[in-house]
Amino acid sequence: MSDSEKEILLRALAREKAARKQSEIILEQKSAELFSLTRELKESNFKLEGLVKEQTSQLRGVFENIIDAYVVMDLTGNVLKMNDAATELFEYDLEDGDLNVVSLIYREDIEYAMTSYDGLMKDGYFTNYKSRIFTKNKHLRWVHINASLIYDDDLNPIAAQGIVRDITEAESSAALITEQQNKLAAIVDYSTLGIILTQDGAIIQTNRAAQELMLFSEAELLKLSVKNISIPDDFPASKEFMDQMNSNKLDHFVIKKRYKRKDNSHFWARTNVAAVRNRDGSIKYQVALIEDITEQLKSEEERQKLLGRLERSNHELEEYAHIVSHDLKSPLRSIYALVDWVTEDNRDTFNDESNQNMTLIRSTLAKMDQLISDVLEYSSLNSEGLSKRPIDINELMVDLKQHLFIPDHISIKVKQKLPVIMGDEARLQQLFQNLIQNAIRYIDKDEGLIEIDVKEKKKFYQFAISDNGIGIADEYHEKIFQIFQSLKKSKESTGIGLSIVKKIVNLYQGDIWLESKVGEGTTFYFTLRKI
Amino acid sequence: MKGIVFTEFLELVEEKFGLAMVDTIIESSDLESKGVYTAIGTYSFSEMLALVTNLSKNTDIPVDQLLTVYAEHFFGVIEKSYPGLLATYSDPIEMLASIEDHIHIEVRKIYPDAELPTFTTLERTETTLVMLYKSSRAMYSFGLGLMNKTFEHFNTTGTIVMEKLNDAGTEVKFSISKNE
Repeated sequence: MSDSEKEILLRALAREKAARKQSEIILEQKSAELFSLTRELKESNFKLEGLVKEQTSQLRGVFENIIDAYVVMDLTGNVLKMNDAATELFEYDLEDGDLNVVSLIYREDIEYAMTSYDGLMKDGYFTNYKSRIFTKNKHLRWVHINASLIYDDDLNPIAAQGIVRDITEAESSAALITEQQNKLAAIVDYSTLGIILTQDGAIIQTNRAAQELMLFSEAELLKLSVKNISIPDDFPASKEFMDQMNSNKLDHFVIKKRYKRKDNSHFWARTNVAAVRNRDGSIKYQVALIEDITEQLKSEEERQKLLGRLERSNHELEEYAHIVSHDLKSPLRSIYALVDWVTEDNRDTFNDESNQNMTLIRSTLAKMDQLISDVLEYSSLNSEGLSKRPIDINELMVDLKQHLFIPDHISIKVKQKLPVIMGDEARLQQLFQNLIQNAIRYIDKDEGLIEIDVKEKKKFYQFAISDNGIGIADEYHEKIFQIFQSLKKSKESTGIGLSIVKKIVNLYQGDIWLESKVGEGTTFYFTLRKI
Repeated sequence: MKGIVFTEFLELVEEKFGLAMVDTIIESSDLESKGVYTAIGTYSFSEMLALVTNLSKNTDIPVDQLLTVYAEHFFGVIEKSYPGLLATYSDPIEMLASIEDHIHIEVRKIYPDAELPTFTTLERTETTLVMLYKSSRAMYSFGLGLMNKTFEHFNTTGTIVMEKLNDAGTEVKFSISKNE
């Protein structure tokens, strides 16, 4: 080998070595690169895995925990996945078998559902779908659905997902509200009272009755304010109430005022105004109920007039009675006096018969006097001028026993403590007096007994005055209370006594009746209202 | 330029012209790498230019011819190392038309920093193809060699006409047609 050949080879060898070294360096570099790349990749993968796990768990969380039902279905409606809420809502469990959503749709809503499905396929989503479904156990539910398509990598739809909200309650509430509104509208519109709703004086709603009262149409009234339909003279009174209402001092008032109709005629009405307030207490609306009291006022006026006339009439009657009795009694007294004198002057000349006749005349006169008093008494018996004070009947009885003439053979027994009655002393005295006098008068026995008893009832006292007298036959029980009727035409009875008794008892809103056995005795029962 | 181009070149030179020729062209070129090439390295294109030019001087064979011959040799390297790349094609016209959109893209996957020319298809039929070659390296002859071997690979022959669109040869029109 020549030198030059040797050198060439040496140079070639050197180049090879150097090339190899270069390769090694490059390879080492590449190795290191690969190593760090691998590590980065591992880290990235780890992070990604973590992220995916997190997302998956989040998604599962959402899927399982959302209150609404979440359903994933294939494009023919077969359910692929659904959460617990869906299982509950549809009452189907996928573990029990396959489910196709079409089987859930309520018959009447099938067309709507199909139309929406077409929309879903065309647009890729639909929202605000509302219809009914039948659950497995045949429960009817209203649902609201938002749905969208799920696509694969090539953007072909492969499934659909939807969130299903149970709005059965909301729908039935809505239906209920509508129903209630309708009922309310019916009540308001058909009310016979005029109802006007105002806000700051402006009329915002009226019912039929209000329109008829005012003679305005509904539309016309809506353009008016309360002032337009009222009378200026009535403003001050209204204003005072309104001010109080506005400053929260009252929520409601009643006022009598006049209204002006469309034809400018007026009418009086009782108006009942109530405030409807906002949460902060300020007034939202006022509701006014208007009652036309024109008729009422008229009858009121007439009644007043009648009352006045009645009072006057009564008054006149009393005066008349007084005057008449006075005028009637006066000549009686004269006759009595004259008869006395004649008797006195002729005591020696008159025979027995004549003397008897004179006595008879005198007793007849006395009877007439009593009759006139009784008639006056009877006619003046009315609730006017009756005082009302507590009267102890026991004391009254004591009084009566003292000043009544009680024959020796008759005894009066009060069987128990008598009550206190609110009333007029004179009238009550008369009542008991007349009954006791009657009892005395009609006792025919050798030993007469008059008993007075009382029974307490819920709203009144029931008194009983019994005697062992001649008794009263059944056929006379009604008659005896009528004026001028009496059993025995005795000289002492005027026939008015029991009528007066009945009238007094009636004044105290009581009743009077009797039980009697002819020959044995009579018991008069009467009731007087308690305090 | 990728080292493999240099290593294959020098091997071919050694095979055809001997080790001494290799030594000569290396020593006579002012090479930054000093002639030390590894297939996995990257070296300046100007070195290739220098080597080829000196080889041409020493052999009296024109540069274009040298490059075409080298390219035809280089095709074998591609066949051996990347059979999968060629297997996707069933027709030479099809393959040549996909140099830009497929082959070079695959090449870049393996050698991300490879410097490659751009081919623009001007015309194409089932049997003909007209492409525009653009590259600052003006190695159109190398391209010609690869194209020749492509036809051979599919057991057919073709006619290729090159038209330099400028003197530097940085833009060349290739008119290719398959022989029936």
